[in-house]
Amino acid sequence: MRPSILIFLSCAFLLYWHFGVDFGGQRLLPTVKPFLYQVTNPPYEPLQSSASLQPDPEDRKEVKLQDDFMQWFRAEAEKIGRVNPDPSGTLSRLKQKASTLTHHQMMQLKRMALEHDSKGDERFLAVYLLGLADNKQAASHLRELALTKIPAVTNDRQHSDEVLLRAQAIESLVQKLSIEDSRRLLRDVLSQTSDPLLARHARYWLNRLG
Amino acid sequence: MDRLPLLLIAIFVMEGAMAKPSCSDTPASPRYVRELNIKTSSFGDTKICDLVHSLQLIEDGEFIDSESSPFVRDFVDGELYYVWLREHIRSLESGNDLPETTASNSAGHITLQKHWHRLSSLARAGSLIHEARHTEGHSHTTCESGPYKDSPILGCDENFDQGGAHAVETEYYARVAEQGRNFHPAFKAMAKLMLRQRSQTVFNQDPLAEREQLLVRTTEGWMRVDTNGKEVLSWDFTDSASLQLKTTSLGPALFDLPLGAWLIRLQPFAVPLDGNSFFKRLNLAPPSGMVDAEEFETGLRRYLYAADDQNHLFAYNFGQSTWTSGGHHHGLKRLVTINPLGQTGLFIVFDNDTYCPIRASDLTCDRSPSSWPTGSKRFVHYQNSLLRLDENGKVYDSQGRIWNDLANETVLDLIVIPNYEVQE
Repeated sequence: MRPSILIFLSCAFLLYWHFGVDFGGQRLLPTVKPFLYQVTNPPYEPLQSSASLQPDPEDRKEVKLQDDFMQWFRAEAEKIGRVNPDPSGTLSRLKQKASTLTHHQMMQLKRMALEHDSKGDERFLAVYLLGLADNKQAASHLRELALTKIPAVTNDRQHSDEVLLRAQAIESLVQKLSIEDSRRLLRDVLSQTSDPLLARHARYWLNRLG
Repeated sequence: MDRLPLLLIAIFVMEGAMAKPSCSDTPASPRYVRELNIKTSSFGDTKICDLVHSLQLIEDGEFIDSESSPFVRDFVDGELYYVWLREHIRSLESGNDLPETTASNSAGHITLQKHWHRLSSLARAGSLIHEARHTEGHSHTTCESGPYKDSPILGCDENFDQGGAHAVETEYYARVAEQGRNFHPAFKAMAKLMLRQRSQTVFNQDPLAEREQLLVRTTEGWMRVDTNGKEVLSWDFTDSASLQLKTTSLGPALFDLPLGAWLIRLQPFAVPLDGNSFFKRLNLAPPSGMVDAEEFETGLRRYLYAADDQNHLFAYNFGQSTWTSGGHHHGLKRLVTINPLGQTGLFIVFDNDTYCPIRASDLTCDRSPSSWPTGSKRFVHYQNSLLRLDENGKVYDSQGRIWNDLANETVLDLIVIPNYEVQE
């Protein structure tokens, strides 16, 4: 028997034995009751008509799009740490995806890149995708990422990953910007970051640009 | 009611006994568990997949023999990473006993700490290879320089050539970045950056030291010195004895204090005065009356230190764009970043031929002054050896012999152009 089934049966037995739950719905857990009452018998008059409470079809469409995007994004992040039989095909696919990113999605990517609790590959992919997007908003987000202060972390590899994200933002921007704008960005990084590792990445590019 | 705790305990015990986390999307999972003696009960369902995916990537990753890289030395056969791993890992488990580390190895028994799972897949694969090397006895040493210098953890390898844990890990990144055939483009992008980053920070001796160059100012002019010899540089700048040659984060610079500081352009060699001020480029105003400055990294921070004509010491905090004053140092002669023993840090040299290391926290002397060799002007690390420039214009090697490459020159000043200045 699978452990999950065994645990489910054990929990069901426990609930029945301890709380006397009737699965036919005759007796309810006391803590759940008020919530159910509220839903089934609202004690107040609704402020809006039922029609206006319905989500706007456009909003629903947007939510669906975001859900689809996040689903795609997480699946793609999972692929980073797997063998890839067709890297150039993957790159073309990612470029294609990057070219269709909406403002909201780019904003989401920037937010994800800075979420310390997210997985390393998801954070890196967020920066990588912004780097493939050829528009001003993506460049602006990348600039912000490159200049975001590195948080204090307890471990050198976590720190290394934090630097890597910002270095990737720099790497992408240098490919996008003019030489003079790139130099300006790199000097901004050097004047603002207190982190020697990130400074080395910036210095490397500043030297290459001459 | 009194039976409830007992029942809960029974459920947890049953779950622990029967749970066998596996990674269902990877057919090789049971083989990895068997061959590497993975303690599956220490991993959750998701975490075991992180490990299994890393192992599969290590096993199935392919490399093409293309252009040679200075970081690929065949410490590990590129086609046999997994076999090598299997030979060096006696068991693998998840734990949280050493939260300040990522993973640890005790005689081949490797424990992956909790946050190992939060790392990028590249760092996860790299750290597995790194830990496996420790089974052969390659241990770490104190970091003598770089960002981990002040870390209490022994975090560095002496050099790349020894092929220690950092070296095999770096070699893996180099292979992925430069020779990887079947890796995700984002994984390769990470490897390229990781290679650049770690190759410069985890070895006490720089693996790319042979690429270093010296920028030398002599009584006759300027020259660049490297393993290929000397190159005389044409010069269109009015020289002056008050000029100080410095290494900064923006590259080599000429400080003519308190007037200003100008960045040196290396290709072609020039010192453009217009719009090329070191301070303007970093968007900061120097303290008034500044007579000396050194930019320096200590631990995980960058600092710009300055001294004024009243012998006050200042430190610039890049994170906050502020200067901190560290009080008065009577008899301050100049600032240097390498002491006669070859140690790096910020040091004040005093008029009476003594020097002391400066504590970053309060800019005071960290200990009572030591003797500064009379007549010595500056020490530099060049290609993993220590050179000394004396006031008489002669350069000596660490054995005290005149350094051949500059034996016929009267040297006024010299600095090392770091690797990232000359990297292709």
